[in-house]
Amino acid sequence: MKRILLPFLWIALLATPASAQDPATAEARAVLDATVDAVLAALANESTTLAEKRAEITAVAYERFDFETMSKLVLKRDWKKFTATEKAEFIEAFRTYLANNYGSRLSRYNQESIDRLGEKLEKRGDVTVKTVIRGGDAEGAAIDYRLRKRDEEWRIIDVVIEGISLVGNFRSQFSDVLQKGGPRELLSRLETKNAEEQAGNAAEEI
Amino acid sequence: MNHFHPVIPLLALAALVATPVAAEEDPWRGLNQRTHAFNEAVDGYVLEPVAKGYDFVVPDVVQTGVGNFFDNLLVPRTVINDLLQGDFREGARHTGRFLVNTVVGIGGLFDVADGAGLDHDREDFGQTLGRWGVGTGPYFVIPFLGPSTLRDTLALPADYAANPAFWVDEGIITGAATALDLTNRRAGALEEIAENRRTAIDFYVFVRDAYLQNREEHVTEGAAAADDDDDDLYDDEGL
Repeated sequence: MKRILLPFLWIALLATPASAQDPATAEARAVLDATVDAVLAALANESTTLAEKRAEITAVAYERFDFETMSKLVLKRDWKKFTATEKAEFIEAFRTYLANNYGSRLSRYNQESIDRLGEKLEKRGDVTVKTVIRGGDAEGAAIDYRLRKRDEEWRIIDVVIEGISLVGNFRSQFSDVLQKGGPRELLSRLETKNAEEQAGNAAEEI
Repeated sequence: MNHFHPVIPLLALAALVATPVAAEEDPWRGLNQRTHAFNEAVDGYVLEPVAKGYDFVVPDVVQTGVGNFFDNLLVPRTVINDLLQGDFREGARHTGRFLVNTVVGIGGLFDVADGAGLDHDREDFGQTLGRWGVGTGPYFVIPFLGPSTLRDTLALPADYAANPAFWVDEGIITGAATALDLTNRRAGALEEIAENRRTAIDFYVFVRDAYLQNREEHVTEGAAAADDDDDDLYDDEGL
């Protein structure tokens, strides 16, 4: 009897998703879980204002996203055309731009939750955590987070919403600007957007 | 000579099959950007203001019902394409969804099937062609309708024909229904579109890239075909 069962057991073991054994996927998943939980907790907190929630979530994002890697991936070959100062300036401007971009959407939060569907080990040791939004207008929307380990820390390097990669989308937009105007033009466009956003926010709070 | 000639789209499709990988994704950019600007103007002057008024007057429950109704009409198209893609399980599931929502959900106004695990992953003829190996062809912005590709544009007549509303012989009903569907959908995306417009560095490129990536995802779903592309996207070696 045992001998008959053995092949089945073996198949069952093979069929078990990598996440069950792989420490990398488990680590990445734990980081993403902590991030998502922190963001949802900040959103659900009834004793804070929207501006306070936004500040709290921005702080979480600054810790959990790897903006340097994201900047490299978004600029790709163009990264080398940036001087060291311009690189630092870009990382800072891009980070602020992303925070503004997504921060302005937080006011639409309406008790949605995020189901985690599983993890996948990718090339270069990256891990993708698949999630889906439950409730609200975006019910069923698929959001994949890609994480990479750098300097002993797992951080998010891309967010893929319904198949649309944030890194891929910004690369398309930025490469266009870079082709026409080079690093300075892109930096000034980003900084203008950031200034506009800041002015808009200041007006909102008055 | 006003007759629509079926050979022309077929020839164009044959050309797409012959070149599955587009050399450049947006060779018609000049024209596309003009159409995009035109569509933005139409949206800014007509669609968005109308949708805002509609959103202000019409309660959310009604908007959901209207959305459910028109979404239900798209399910037969999904079923046909499930079958054309050889996905009989999904075809059966979506048929079940259509029957449940049409009968129990009062003509599709209520989405009762969703709670029963019969959700709707839309499928269209453009996706089916993609599954069959037809390349997207150049990116193409359709006047009034927005982002598309040559492949998806050529597939549109079949998409329309697969919608039961298309076969209603009263032009005025079809027209009014289309207007309601469009207004309702636009009303559901007021904030999203306004935010994207405001924050994008280049809204034309933002829309183009989002459309192309999303379509690619729907065509390759479940398949590992997109892996080579991803490999390049996440490579930061030497940077």
